[in-house]
Amino acid sequence: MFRIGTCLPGKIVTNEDLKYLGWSAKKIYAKTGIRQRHCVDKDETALDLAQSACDDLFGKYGIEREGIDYLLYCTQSPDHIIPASVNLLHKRLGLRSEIASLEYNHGCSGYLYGLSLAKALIESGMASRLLLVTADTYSRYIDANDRANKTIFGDGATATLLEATDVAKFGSFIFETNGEGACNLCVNRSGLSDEILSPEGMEKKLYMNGGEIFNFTLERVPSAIARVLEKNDVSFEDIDHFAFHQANDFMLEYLRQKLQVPAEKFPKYLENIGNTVSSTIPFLLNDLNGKGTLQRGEKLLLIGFGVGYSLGATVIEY
Amino acid sequence: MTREELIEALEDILMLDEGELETDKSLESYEDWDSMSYLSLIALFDGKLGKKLDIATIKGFKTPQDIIDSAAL
Repeated sequence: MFRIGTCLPGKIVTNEDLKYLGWSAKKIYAKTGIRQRHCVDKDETALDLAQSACDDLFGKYGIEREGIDYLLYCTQSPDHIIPASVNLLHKRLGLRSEIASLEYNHGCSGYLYGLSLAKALIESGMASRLLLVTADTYSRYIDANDRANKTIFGDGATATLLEATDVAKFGSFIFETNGEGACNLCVNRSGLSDEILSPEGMEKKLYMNGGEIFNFTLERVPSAIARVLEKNDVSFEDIDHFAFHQANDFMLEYLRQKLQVPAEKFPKYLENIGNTVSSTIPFLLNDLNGKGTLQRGEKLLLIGFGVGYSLGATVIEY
Repeated sequence: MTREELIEALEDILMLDEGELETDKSLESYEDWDSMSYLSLIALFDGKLGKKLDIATIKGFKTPQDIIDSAAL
């Protein structure tokens, strides 16, 4: 069982709301598979969403926060650069002071990184009750007239509790990194450097070269799946559920068909929330959990891929 | 894939009715020639023609005929 809490901001942006971008609501859905996405208000941040996702987790599973001994926070929408937002999250959650708190910057593969770190930390005895939080508010980076990004991305946060019994069911992980793709999904001048990563991108706004990101997935996802299956000594047919990063429906459906994954083994959860970056996989797992879809002993293949370029995958036994 | 099938696929990508594609017309004049249609074109070339299309090549296409020529059927 996955113990996952979630938070979506209250403001819903429907396809009707985005008609000013030149596509009808129907066309936006046809092209992205997304009907609506949640976006933060001006005074709302990723940290607010992260806190609410943790509160949802604690409430849903009756978790005592005193027992948490490691806090991991994945975001590309930090409230502050200094200090790390995870320190503020730690304070807001009222966790014990004698614990480690670590923030890391990853996008679509961020949840896989978090799970792998959790496994390593718990199995090495450095943590026993780890809280993995993902939160992003890409909407804050997107220009109002950027049709492709406005229609795809949504904001949201998740919190996952991980203990020895959970990580024991995680198989081996694989990762890929290719900084050559950094220019294809970036926010120019989002840090201290004057370097312009993509001349086509505006300053401090999200730029995505969707075509090249798609080419990256076509090139790397099939081989990564073969590699993670081999590393875990399981066959393609052994996998009961393929939990992919929920980028957009077009990309997902094309990959599914290319890989010949049966639709019933390929759950999706983006129609009403869009692409929530590092939170898409935990949102999907939480949905499967809630529906009671997963059966004990079933195998899930988790794979995240995108911004960086970066890719991570593993196999989990439920 | 035949030339006719490719034209049909391009009509789908550009959300045109059958027979509406004019192969010598500027792609820019088609309302649905945009970043999302690039994805569809990449998928078409990958899936049906076994060819990789990068964005620089796509942006170099001026007319549907350029796409047809690139497919080298």
